[in-house]
Amino acid sequence: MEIQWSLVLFTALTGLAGWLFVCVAVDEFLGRAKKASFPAAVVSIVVAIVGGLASVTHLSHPDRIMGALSHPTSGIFVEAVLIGCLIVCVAVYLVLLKRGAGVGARKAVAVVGAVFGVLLSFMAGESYLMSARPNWNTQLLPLGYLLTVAPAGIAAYLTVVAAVAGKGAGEAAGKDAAASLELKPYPMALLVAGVLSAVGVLAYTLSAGASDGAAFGLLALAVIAGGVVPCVAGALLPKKPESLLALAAASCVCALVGAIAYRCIMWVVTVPVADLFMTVI
Amino acid sequence: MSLTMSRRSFMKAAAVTGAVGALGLGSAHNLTQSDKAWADDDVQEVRTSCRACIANCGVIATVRNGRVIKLKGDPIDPMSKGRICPKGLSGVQALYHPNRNKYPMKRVGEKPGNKWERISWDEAAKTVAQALIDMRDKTGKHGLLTSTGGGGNPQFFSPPRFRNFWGAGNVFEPGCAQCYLPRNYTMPLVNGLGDTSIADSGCSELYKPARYGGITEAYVIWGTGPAWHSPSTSGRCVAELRANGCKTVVVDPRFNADASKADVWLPIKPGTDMAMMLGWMHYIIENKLYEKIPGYEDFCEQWTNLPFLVDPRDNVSLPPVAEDITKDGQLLRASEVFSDVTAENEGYVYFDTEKGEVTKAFALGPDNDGTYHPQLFGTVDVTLKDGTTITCKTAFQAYKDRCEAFDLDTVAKITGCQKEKIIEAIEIYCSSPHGGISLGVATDMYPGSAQAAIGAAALDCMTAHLWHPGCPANKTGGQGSSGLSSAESTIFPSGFIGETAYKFMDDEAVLERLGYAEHKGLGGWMHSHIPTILSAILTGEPYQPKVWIERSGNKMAALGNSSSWVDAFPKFDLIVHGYMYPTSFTTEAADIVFPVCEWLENAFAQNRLNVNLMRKPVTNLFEAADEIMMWGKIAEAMSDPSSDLYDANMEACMDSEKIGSPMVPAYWKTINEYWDWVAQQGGDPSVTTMKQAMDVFPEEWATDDEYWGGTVYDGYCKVNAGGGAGGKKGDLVAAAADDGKVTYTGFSTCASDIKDDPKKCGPYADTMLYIGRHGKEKFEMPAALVDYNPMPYYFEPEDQTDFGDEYPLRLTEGRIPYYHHGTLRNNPYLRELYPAPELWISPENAEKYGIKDGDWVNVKSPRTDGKDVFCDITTGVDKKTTLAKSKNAADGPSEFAPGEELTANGQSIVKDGIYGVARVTKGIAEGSVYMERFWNPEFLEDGSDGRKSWTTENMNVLTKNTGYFNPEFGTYTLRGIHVKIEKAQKPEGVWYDPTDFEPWMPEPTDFTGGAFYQS
Amino acid sequence: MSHYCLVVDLDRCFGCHACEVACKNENGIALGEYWNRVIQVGPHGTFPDLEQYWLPVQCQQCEDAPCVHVCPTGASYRDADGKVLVDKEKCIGCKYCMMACPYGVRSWNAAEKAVEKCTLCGHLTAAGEQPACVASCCASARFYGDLDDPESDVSKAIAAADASSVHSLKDVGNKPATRYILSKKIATWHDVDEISPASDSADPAWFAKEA
Repeated sequence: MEIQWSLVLFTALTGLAGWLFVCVAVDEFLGRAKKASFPAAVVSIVVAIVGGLASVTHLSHPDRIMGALSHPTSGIFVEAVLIGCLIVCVAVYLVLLKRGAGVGARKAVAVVGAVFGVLLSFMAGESYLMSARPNWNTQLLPLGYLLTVAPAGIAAYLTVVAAVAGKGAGEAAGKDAAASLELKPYPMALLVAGVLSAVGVLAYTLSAGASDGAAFGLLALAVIAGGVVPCVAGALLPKKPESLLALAAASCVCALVGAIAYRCIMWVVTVPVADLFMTVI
Repeated sequence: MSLTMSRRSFMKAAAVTGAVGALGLGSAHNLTQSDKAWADDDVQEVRTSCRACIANCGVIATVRNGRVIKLKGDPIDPMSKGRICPKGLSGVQALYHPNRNKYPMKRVGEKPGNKWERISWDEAAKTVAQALIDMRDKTGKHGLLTSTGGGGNPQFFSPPRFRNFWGAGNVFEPGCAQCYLPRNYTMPLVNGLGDTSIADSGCSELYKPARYGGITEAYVIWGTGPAWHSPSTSGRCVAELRANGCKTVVVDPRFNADASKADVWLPIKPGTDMAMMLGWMHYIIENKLYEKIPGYEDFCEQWTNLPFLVDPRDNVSLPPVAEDITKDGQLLRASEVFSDVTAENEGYVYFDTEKGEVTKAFALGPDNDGTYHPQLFGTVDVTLKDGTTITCKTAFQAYKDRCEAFDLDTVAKITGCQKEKIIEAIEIYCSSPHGGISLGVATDMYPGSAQAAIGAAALDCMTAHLWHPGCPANKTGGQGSSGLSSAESTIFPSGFIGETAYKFMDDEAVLERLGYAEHKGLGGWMHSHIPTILSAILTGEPYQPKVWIERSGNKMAALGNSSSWVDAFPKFDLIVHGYMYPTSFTTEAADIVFPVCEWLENAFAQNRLNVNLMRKPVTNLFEAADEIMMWGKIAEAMSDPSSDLYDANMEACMDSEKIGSPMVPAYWKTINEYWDWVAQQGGDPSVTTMKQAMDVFPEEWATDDEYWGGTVYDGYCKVNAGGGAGGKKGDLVAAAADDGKVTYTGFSTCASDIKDDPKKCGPYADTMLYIGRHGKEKFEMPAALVDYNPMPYYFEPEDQTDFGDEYPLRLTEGRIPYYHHGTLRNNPYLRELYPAPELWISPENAEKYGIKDGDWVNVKSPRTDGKDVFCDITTGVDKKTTLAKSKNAADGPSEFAPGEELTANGQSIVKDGIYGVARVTKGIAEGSVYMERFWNPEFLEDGSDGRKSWTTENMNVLTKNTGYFNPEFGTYTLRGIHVKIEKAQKPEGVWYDPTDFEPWMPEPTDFTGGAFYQS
Repeated sequence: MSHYCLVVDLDRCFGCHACEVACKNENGIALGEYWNRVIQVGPHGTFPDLEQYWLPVQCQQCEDAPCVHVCPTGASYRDADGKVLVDKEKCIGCKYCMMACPYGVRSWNAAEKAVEKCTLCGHLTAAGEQPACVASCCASARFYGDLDDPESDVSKAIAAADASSVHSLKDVGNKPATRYILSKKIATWHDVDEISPASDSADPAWFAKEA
């Protein structure tokens, strides 16, 4: 089947946004990079909105989208609700942050938003579970959706952290800041997420059955860019804190590419029970 | 102003000319300003009859505000029962095709080319008249050539009708000797009933509803594809038979739809059918199956001419391709044996085993029942009346000898079929008398055409598959039907051609028809021999055809070895084409184009069993007219005694009184008058106008019970079963006696010198032999050089013998459900379904040639490669009879000794071969490939190379109009030719993807009345 | 509830494609788009003992229709008679229903940018006529009616057939209603996920013609 780029970008970007916000929420509790909270949340909401808009480009009659309200069981409805909730949570979080509201409320909103973010990344894949397409019809598919955007979100968070730190105190200060931040949990998380992403990609793809060169190419890209690169970056970061921005940004881009590649695999390998009209969707 | 005939140019033309020719037409694409005779959203249903192929199914056209918007089957039609096939369903797209020929046109500019100028009907007719008159005055009337065929609702009889009025000249269609004539002519002379072509004659009996009992139980579908010929009529009927338990055998190189449902499929190698038939006969004789047909054990003995004695003195002249066959000739005449038998009471003889003596054959009747005990096999010493004694075989013995070598092991080898399967097939065939063989067009398409027709009909005779309930060879239809023609596809109007008081054509003009004296079977349709015509055009010998009026489908796609015709076109003074759209022939050859009607604009009466259908002018567009007006207006242009263009015959043919026969009406001056005449042919005496006919037809002229219940089966052993079910409705004529002797109806197959008709069916085709020597005209014709052998014989396809090494694959053709002949390749929905010709090839051969399913393939034959070029076959023939002086080259070029190559130039046009798309399938006979006719109308669009329309995917540039023509019909070789193939790329410019055909989507247009309509 | 659908007798169907053309005519379907197609299955077997049948396919009127389930707007819906239909006015063009259809028998109308499919010619059946494909069917192989009504053409066709000859397209939980009658004497039934185009060509002319 043709790769549906709108949907690929939609799921990859909103997933990234969701996991980015997870990091923001986690940091509410760890408090390692408080300066990054606001810009990271902003990036999250912007990416979420861009991702949401990408999905609209898939539709030929977006004007009729309100009709979706009439049919609350569909995957699109669930995705729309989740993305809406995520955006609302992030927006509320930003407002609370800006107004300096109580930590408790902020933490609560962040956690709820994070849950929506994680759910969104999973449910975007869950929508494709349909009996018509046997090699989509496995929980490994949405799991892969979730796992492949996690490193992208974490790396994005670290990128923001690095950018903010660098911006605040100049180059040298940035390095120091980074070093002093004891960011340890985040690189570790990136490392783990990278491993899990690669595992998730492999698990789904092997279960789906990659059949041709294109699929294997995409598989390699998804594993290396989406898994190995974040993993290596996560391992290197504690040793090279001065390269935080570069490593984080590179990881973010690679992980996003990996997440996209993973989604492309899904379109490339799908075989319906039968495609009797040979329709190119 | 000049234009090319495509959609865009017509639009330009419309803009330039503005509106209005002489008939008050609007412009081509904006005819909506006419005064509407209907209220808005006036929806009517017009019940008409299809002519997208030859089957004529009942159709209901929905007409909204004057435009045809929908077609569906008419349930009243007892043959289609309301069903409608893809070809019929495409009628609306065909009717409103943007490239319709809208006005008469004349060529401006080069030939070949596609530049035209609109002219009036009057000018077009006068142009043709002028050419005919010039020709008559300079070189004589025989320079006229008329032609039809290739599909596109042609009137079968119009070209010979015009020629016959004109008084001389030739008629052909690419089918004829290659399609249906061999069976149509031969089979009735053998089985005494009719041909068993389910496609053409209809085989009415097969349509009998099961509730009447006696339905077909064992049906052999030989070289015909009912499912894909007319899905709604023959396809539906055979599906019904199968569902009712009828066992079927399919003999076909292709695993087609009917084969896939058959009890036995015999994947016969193309061109080996006669071997298969001889094998069946061998098995039937060896196992005495001829006397084991349940209930009809003595049929063969009592009702066939097989016991009759063969005259051993007859030195038959054998065909050049089979000079080693047995030399049995004509049946012994009784006048040779008995002194009381003269020409007045001539008869056949047999040996009576009870009487122990040679006896004159006699017709059976109630008085002599049980006195006929003929010897079936062996030899008999016969003392002739001059005292000499000769040893005669029985005809059955002659058959036994003829098929002696065709044991089933040998036949299996020749035909590529398994022996066990062949036996299974024969056993099914002989398991029930309720059945028989439907022989299809396949065998007509190679020079064994007459032999296969004799073979199939003779098999049915030997096994008593005649005239019983369930037999394809039958006389169905209750009292009052027209019997054989009750499901006939082409014969209308009855008597359209016939005797007239006015002498239009003399015997010399009949005799000089090209190739007729050698191939007398062509006389059945009053046609001439195509290769002889081609040679005459190219050499001017024995005379030069000068004016060609062609009305039908693309000749470049329909004629065998069609590129050999390119060199012929410049030899004409004028070439006329009448068709609904431009074709390759138009751009290659035509000088004048007449716009003729689609079937939704035509009128025609059509009998379908117990229902009379009427094809009605549902609408009429532009200046198009029924083709009868094309012929009529040309004649009319020569009918004025005061004009320079006067011809007495042409004046006479416009005048019913001069013609003097109500059965042969004069041409009509307005289309309305013609429509009224058609309405009067519909079978209801109360109808005199088309206006009435619009309401009255379709009409059930008999109920099912009357029709089927009134059918007389086994009429041969009844008194006065008559010509089948002839006679008036409900009125069985009282027993009539010949010479006071009451006889059974029997069969009428004997040669015309036999006056004491023993009324047998004639598997030993003595009658064919007789016709070859004497003809069937009112005057005695000279004998053909090669006798018309009374029994089938087998010979290897010439391409195998001559070119088999280099061209290893044997090519066959065959129906697909989307197109009829050369039609509808410009129909968007149908081209979407079948955009390019398929080449079926077996997995083994595909691997051998490195071809995968879906690959484009290049195909070449000895014709495309300049190795088999059409040669002079006429400069050595007699001018008066067009007969060769002998078979020797020393006597000059003839079909027996072709002279120099004539068409190397034309054939070089197709030196690159043609293209198709490979379909790798197990469903194809060993060593064979299949391809169906095709052409590409997209190359007639603006800016295209029109020549490519017929050179790119047209398998008829591979076929063969050279070499051996069979004696009876001059049939040439369209199937069983040899080709070579290789993997190729998709040829440039062909339309293939569904959306490619978008420019051909219909452009609905309002009723204009067409040409010659008077409101 | 009523359950309207088509039943096709493959013992009779001889692949003339009249249903396909009738459908396109009746519903004005663009070139390259389809609501109904006829697929050739076979020939299978060893020459000359071959088997082949034609499989006309269109919306199978699934009892548990995945297309209705996934449609975000209710454009794909089940009407009062239980027929699965598309309200093109509501279609947003997400094509999820096309992905969700196990047989790929939904069609993208490129001009209207909406999904459509076989409607069982509701406009004709409402007027007492047969669907266009059924009316034209030259082999009398197609039947239309309510499976829950034992007097309907579809119920009678199924009842007349041997139970072992009644098949449906592979059910992956969607419960297709359409039944195909194919007896062993004509050919062995092949599950629809086992048949695939033999041709490498993506051209629709070649689709699903098996070697």
